[in-house]
Amino acid sequence: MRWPQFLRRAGVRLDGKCSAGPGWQAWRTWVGTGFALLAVAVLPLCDLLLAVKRGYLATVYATPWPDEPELNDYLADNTALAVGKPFRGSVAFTEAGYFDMLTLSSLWKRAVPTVNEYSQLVTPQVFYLKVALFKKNVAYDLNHFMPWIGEGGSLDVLLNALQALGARYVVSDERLDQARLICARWRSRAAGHRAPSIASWRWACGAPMSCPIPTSATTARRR
Amino acid sequence: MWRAYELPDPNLGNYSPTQVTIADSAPAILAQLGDANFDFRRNVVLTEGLEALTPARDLKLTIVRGGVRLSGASDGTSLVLLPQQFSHCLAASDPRVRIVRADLAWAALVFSGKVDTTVTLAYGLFSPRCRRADLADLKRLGVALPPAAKPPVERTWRAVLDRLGAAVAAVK
Repeated sequence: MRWPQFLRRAGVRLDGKCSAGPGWQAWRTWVGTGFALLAVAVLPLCDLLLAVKRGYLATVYATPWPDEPELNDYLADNTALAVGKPFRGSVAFTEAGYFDMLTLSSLWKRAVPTVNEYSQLVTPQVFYLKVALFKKNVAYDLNHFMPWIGEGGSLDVLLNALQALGARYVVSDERLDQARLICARWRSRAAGHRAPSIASWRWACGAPMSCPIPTSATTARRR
Repeated sequence: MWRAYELPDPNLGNYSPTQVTIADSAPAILAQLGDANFDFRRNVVLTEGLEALTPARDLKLTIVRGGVRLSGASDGTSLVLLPQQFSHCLAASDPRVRIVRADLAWAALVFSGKVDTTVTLAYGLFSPRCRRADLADLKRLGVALPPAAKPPVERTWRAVLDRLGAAVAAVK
């Protein structure tokens, strides 16, 4: 219905003269309009009440970025991509849990390339490598490329393949005893996440290396 | 507990293997890659033969918008292993450069003389045809997951209803 028609039905005269008073038709139009406005206001009103009564729901799905500046800075300084700059290698994470994905996302945000991939463009051949060469159980690795070895897999074969894929750093929660590896260590820092028990262990690297925890990023060749 | 390790010699676009092995199936290729003596810097497994290779020199891989740019030179014909997965959707700006599948999953550039080319992924909503060639490669190379790698899926109505019930309960 167009505005002039609506106004005429509602008893409003458009010629500037006084109306004789709203008839049944006009009342019906006003009441119907009122109900319609009420109906479309119900959902926003419910949202408003929900926001007032249960405001905490607004942040249920909000996950803060990981607070790992030393790791981010170190990897970004040494590998981040930039147009016109040479490729300097990428990072391979061995884990693919929820918090690992947050760390990966945080690195992607800073243009740090990773061997790890989560997309529809993971090629079947590289997926096949995980199964047949690295012996990894890929039952839950759908459209992920999170290369690591499974039972019967060879760490040497994996590391050779990762290097060929451009990996310069491997970040793992497992101890790799290959003599050629260099360990980079960061001081421990608790992330500002709600679950400090999870976040606080993330960068507690150093204890198994039996060396003092430095206050800034350093590298040291393992003996 | 996390630890970060640095690998000594990552492929920065500087792997130029010359010792070629031909294998025409995925299991045969993996048999080569799984050998402890296989060195990606010297060895490469291809699905078809090439002329004798010489190591490329002055290689430089730089980042460009939407792809990578490789420059270098060769005294004959050279192959450079890119730190990138192979797809038939990859395209080189220099028509003299060939992009081939190497070591089953890697992309490699084959060129003679001097090279300065950009490699981009020419795949998109209106250019999906190259993916058909990728699919054909799966059959040609015999890429198939072993049965043990596939998760057991119970396909009965009872199992479906159980899973549905569990999903509904989780939402509640």
